[in-house]
Amino acid sequence: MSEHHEQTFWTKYIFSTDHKVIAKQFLWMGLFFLAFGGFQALLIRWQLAYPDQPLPWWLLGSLFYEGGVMTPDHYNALFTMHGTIMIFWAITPMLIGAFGNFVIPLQIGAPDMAFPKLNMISFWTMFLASVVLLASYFLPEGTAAGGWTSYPPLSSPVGGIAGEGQTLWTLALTLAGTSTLMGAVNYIITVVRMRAPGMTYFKMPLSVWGLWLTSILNAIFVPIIAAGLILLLLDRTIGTQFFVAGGLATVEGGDPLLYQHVFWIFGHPEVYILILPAWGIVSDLLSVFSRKPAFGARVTAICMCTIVVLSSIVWGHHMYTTGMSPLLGKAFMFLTLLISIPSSIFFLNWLGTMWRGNLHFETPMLFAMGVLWVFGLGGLTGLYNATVTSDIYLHDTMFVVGHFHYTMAASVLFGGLAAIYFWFPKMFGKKMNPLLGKLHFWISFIPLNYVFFNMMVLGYAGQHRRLYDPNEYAFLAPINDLNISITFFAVILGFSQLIFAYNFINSMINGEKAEANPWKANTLEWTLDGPIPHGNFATTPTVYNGPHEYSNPAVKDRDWIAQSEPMPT
Amino acid sequence: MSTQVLPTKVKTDEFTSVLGMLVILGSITMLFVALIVSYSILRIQSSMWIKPGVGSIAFILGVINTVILMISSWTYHKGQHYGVKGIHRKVRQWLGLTLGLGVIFLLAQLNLWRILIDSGMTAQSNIVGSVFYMLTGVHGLHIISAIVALFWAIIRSTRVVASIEIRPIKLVGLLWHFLDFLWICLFVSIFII
Repeated sequence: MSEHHEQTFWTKYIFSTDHKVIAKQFLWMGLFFLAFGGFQALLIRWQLAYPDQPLPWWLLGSLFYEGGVMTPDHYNALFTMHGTIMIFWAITPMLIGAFGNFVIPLQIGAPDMAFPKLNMISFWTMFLASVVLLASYFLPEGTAAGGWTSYPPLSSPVGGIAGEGQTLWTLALTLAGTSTLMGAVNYIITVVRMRAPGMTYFKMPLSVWGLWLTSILNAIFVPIIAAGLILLLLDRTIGTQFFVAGGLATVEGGDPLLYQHVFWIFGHPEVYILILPAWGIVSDLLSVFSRKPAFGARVTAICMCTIVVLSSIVWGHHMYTTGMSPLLGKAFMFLTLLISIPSSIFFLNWLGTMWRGNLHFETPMLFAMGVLWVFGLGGLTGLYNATVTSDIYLHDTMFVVGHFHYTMAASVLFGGLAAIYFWFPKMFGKKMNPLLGKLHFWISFIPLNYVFFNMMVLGYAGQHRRLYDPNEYAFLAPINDLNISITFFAVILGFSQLIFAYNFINSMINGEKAEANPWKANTLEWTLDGPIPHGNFATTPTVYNGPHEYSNPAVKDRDWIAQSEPMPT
Repeated sequence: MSTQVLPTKVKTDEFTSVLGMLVILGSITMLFVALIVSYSILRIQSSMWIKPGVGSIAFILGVINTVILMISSWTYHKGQHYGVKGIHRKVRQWLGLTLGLGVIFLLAQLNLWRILIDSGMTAQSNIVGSVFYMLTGVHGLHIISAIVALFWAIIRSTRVVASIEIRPIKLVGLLWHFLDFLWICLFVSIFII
């Protein structure tokens, strides 16, 4: 008996409960905010390169600031919103919202997510969060400006930043967190309960592992930042005393340092939340394009689990300079350094996957290999931040900025771009232009490395982050030209994304029709042809093989076999 | 765009929904763990902490509110029992009573707030007040959402005359009992310890 439900324009495209539609909604949202945040980055770069000059016409300076002149307050607002938007409104919707939604049900052989209506509500909650955040731009005193970390007392009403931008920021983030929690429940339960027959946990693609582990971290830690945000919101609105140092009357007040703890207990797992999907996707893509099984796939999955556990007990490494006892510092340092072990293991597994593989340098592969490079570098620089002694010097310098842009902006973003290039044929049924894709990669990869590596050089030299005018400091004068050349390459990096935008839009409209399995990949989504219908699989697939069955000698006529195809005897 | 709709529509079983609710409860637990640990740290760091309602009627009211919520868990349990038995009228009666007790709890909490504000303890006056109104307020907001959910569950479960759909009752039941247990923990940590 087939169920037929009428679909109107509204239920099909706007309030759809189909995970594939919701995935696209999150993708548009993520791409929009990626462009928004990227543009903000260019404004920041201009200020750092030419602090005494107003913004040029091609950065639309006079549109945003009177006479194109950015004041220190503007600058604070700029890097605050840049960080907030990139983390919560670009990466999260793109990697977790879009690819989590698109990939999970298809790769585990399920008809949809476990809770389709909740899925739909999670998108629209995020939409509401976006409206609240963007509304703060229209406030007379502007947006939040206390850094994306929003520490009190700068973010609290007593002696902090004026205006309600900070309050709207807190509200927007609470809504975003609620959306994330709804998504997390869905992803966790879908993976646990809706895998197709034969799809054991270790037969799941590593992309699903990454997205699933991210959701577990989200479910546990997003409520913690919600707690911190509630306390901050109450301080800002009804005048509670949580983060006011030394309160009124006879009973003491709150503790600003408490905020930092609550924030970073969430904040550290958050960075792993952001990168786990990319790790999983890269692990799979390297296998597809090396035509080889993912080396040590099981171990990679276990390493990701280990990192999930370790990530919850290292938050203090963001707070080494707050005056903690050296013993506590050493404890956090030790645990943080431990994380480098499982990370290195799966990094080596990535190399092992490629070793003596039949490498196909398609665009998704280039970006996946790009992740190898930038994550390797970014991860290594993490060691200097993890070590208390070096961090005392490097904390709050551009070194940290370089480190987290290498690991977050570069690794996660490249992982996201790899995912877009890879799944575009399945999402839209069209092919993207490979030449433009490769051009996009190289014109992004080289400038990106110049930009963020040199930030670490600047940080090592002592330039602080969140600095309005580096020229103020005489000791930076010898090295200050770096700020200018970094900006030059950052502009190239920014404008090279237009190649991607053109390719993406043009392929969607005019692109050549893609075949069902252009990459000859063996996971379940590639067994479906044409636009995938509501409900995905006509009959529930039975899974026989793992997700990386490439170049298996038992398969004679080709170098791959689908997960749902029985192995020839 | 294909308009083909396949026979397989997602119809998750009861266990799946229960698991989902347990994940949600896990998240709510983490929220309150963070709030209670924050409270603990602020209290440990302070040199003098005056418990709310010490030696006044406020404490008695707090006890009464706790008992009201505990009774509501029992009435919920009765409602669920009749739900399993399939008796619509009893389900509506007992779950409706639970709903009423939930509303009474909220009103009683507001009354407790009023009494404490009149006695001089406000959210702004000192950190003890901030903590008290925050914890009870956040808990109260969750009770409001549970009341809305229960209202939905009553309607949804008794929609069809022939049978009772037990799943909404089970799911909201988990939330209700959880919030009751949570309140007991909050009450003990705020008023007693």
